Order: sequence, then C-alpha cells, then structure tokens
Amino acid sequence: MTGRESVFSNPEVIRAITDHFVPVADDVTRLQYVDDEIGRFFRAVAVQGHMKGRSRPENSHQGIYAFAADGVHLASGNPLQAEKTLALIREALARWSELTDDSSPVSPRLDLAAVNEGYPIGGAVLRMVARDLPRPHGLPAAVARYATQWNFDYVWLRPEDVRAFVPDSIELGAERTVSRDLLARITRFHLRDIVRGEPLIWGPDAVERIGLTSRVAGLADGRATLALEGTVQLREHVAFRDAHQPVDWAFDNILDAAIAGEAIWNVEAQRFERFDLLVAGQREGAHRYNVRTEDPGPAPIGFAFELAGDAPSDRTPPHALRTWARPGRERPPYPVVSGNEPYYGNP
Amino acid sequence: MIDPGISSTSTIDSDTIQAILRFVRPRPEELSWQAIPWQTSIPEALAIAARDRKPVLLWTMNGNPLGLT
Repeated sequence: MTGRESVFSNPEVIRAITDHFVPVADDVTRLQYVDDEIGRFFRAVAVQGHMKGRSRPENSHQGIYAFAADGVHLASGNPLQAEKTLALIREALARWSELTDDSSPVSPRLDLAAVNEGYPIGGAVLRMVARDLPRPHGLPAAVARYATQWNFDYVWLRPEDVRAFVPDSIELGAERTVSRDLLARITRFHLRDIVRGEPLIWGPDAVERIGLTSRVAGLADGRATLALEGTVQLREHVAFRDAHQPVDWAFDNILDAAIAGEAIWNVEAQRFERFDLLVAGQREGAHRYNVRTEDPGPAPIGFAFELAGDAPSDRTPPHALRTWARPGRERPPYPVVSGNEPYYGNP
Repeated sequence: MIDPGISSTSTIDSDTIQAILRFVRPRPEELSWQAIPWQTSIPEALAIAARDRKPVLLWTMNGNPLGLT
C-alpha cells in the first residue's frame, strides 16, 4: 500500500498516467498464477520486462507494467518513488512513440466474465476502512513509521444479505436480529487487522460471540432510519514463520469490539441509501503478512463501513473472494475464499 | 475524545460513533491516487487502449491495489 502515497499521489505521476495511458490495476496473485486468458496474457507481458528470467511462481511479479494493447512490453519495474516511476513512464512513452509510427495494436479478446464473477447484482457493495485508533502514549517507537497507515476492503452483499439487515415490519421500534451465519461470514472474511497488510481470514472456530440488532428508530418520507447495535468477539491461535527473518511466532489473535451505526432504508426502492457502521474495539496478535509482530497489542482499532460509490474501482472484489483456481486445483462453481469456502455461504 | 479502552462491553453514543467514523475514514489528501481513472479489468483496459490508441499502464500488487493490499 506504500505506493498509493509515495507514487500514485504525486501530481506529476497522476497527470502523466491520466493523460497518456489507460490505467488498470489488479491483484498480482491472480495474474501470475492463474491459467486462463488473462493470466497468460499478463505473464507474456511480464517475461519481456523486469521479471525476465525471474518468472518462477515464488517471485512476486508486483510492479508497474506499461504495454501496448497487443501485449508488446514498453517498460516495467517495481518503483516505490515518484521520480523512478516518472522515469519508467518516460521510457514507456518513448518506446510507444516508436511503435505507433507504423503499427496499430490489436488487443486480444479476453474473457471479461472471469473478472466480474460474483459481483452482487441487485445487492450492495460496502467499502470498509480500517485504521488504528489513538493510543494514550502513541505508537511504540519501533513501529512509529506506520502511524499514518490505513487500509480498506470491499464487502459484497447479495440482495438477500441486504434484506437481512432490515426488520420484517417497518414500524417504529420493530427489530431484527441479523443472522449469525451472515455476521460470521462478514466478520471472518472482513474484520481482519488489515491496517498494515494482509492477514488471513479468521478460521471457522474463531467466532466466540457475535450479535447485531437492527431497530427502526425513525420513519419519514418513505424511509426508515435503522439503529444498528451489536458486539463481536473473535479469538484464534496462530503460529507462523516470520516473513523476513528465521523467527517463529505464535499469537492468540483477538478482536473484542462494539458494533454501532445507523442506516437509511428506502422502503419503496428496497435499498439502503446510507449505511454507516462502526466496529471499534481492541485487537491483539499478528499474522505473517500484517506487520504486527512488533506491535501485537492489545490496542484500539476501528473499522468504518459505508456504501461504496459507482466508480469502476468500486467494483474491486473483496480481498477474501477468489474467483479463480490455483493451477492443478479444481474449485467449486461459485466465488470462494481461501480453502474453497463459499464467500456467500453454502449454496 | 476516543476512549482507547473501547471494547465489546462499551456503549457508544451517536456523537462518538460519528467522531470515530470521521477519524477512521480517509481524508481527501489520502485519496489522491484515486484521481487516476483506474480500470479494474485488463480485458476492458485493452479494449479501451486499442480504441483510443493509447498504451496500458498496469499497477499490480499482492492484493488488489484498489482495495486491500
């Protein structure tokens, strides 16, 4: 996530990319492993550039790749500085000007369905932001450089998942207890300590206590104001080898948090117009890839949910959702998370 | 003031909910990178690039750069 701030927030980089390129972003895990049209196209580009000769699966192909629509590589690298990125862009544009003098790139027709699988048509997409909450004495010195970090994910809800937050009767005081199965899926797949990186999903036995009640707190102009209130307690023992040094770690990972918020339900349209939900509490522990081993807590953390917008980027799939199979593995014909567990619950 | 001891036993009033939501959500300056009109699918990006005669710039990370990464 460093590149968001150090590279792609730079005004010159933003201008150069917007003016001269068709910008696109995707998950490298999908691109470098999956044996489908998109994966093969990406790898054919990557082997022409800075990954040349290093295309073994264990070498992450993360980076920035400039190429023509027919797959001709222009420039690539994995810079985390704006100046180096601008140099890469200049190199790409110089190569592009040579190509376009007498050529007209023809793009391959790739399978678009492979990208949009699982999108909850008629449902809702929530954007969930996670950030550390203030501590009385600030961050430990060893991790002070992470003080400004935050991260986010998307939550996909089918129409029936959306309706599960709304009381059957829309009258003042009417309540609905949101189903445990739905809450467990959302918490296990999304209430992860993502502030600094990518932890695994919570295991199926991690949910110790969870509950959420939705109550009609107001009615006006065909809209119901729903008060949301609940709690969540998760606990799971994890053990792992450090990502960067030969050290073995073991933690009891914990999330102990209150849930509170407010949503506006349009009764006639049967959709949310606003969905402001907060999960705030104590987190504890670490995962191999979430940079918490030096700062395992307990410490306060907040998760803020709201309805996502309608920009193309708001169709980014949830991190936990996998719509592809690793080479040599079959996967069920529905979106899954790690371990082939169905993202939307048992079909 | 956000209670640093907040937990599952806490009762959070509406003003505090709004204060914490404001604190957690990104400030505009933290979203500058979203000013770039990112596409989310390589097939769509290739089609646009061929139509507009522009090169593609792909940003790819562990996790999706436009989401959790």
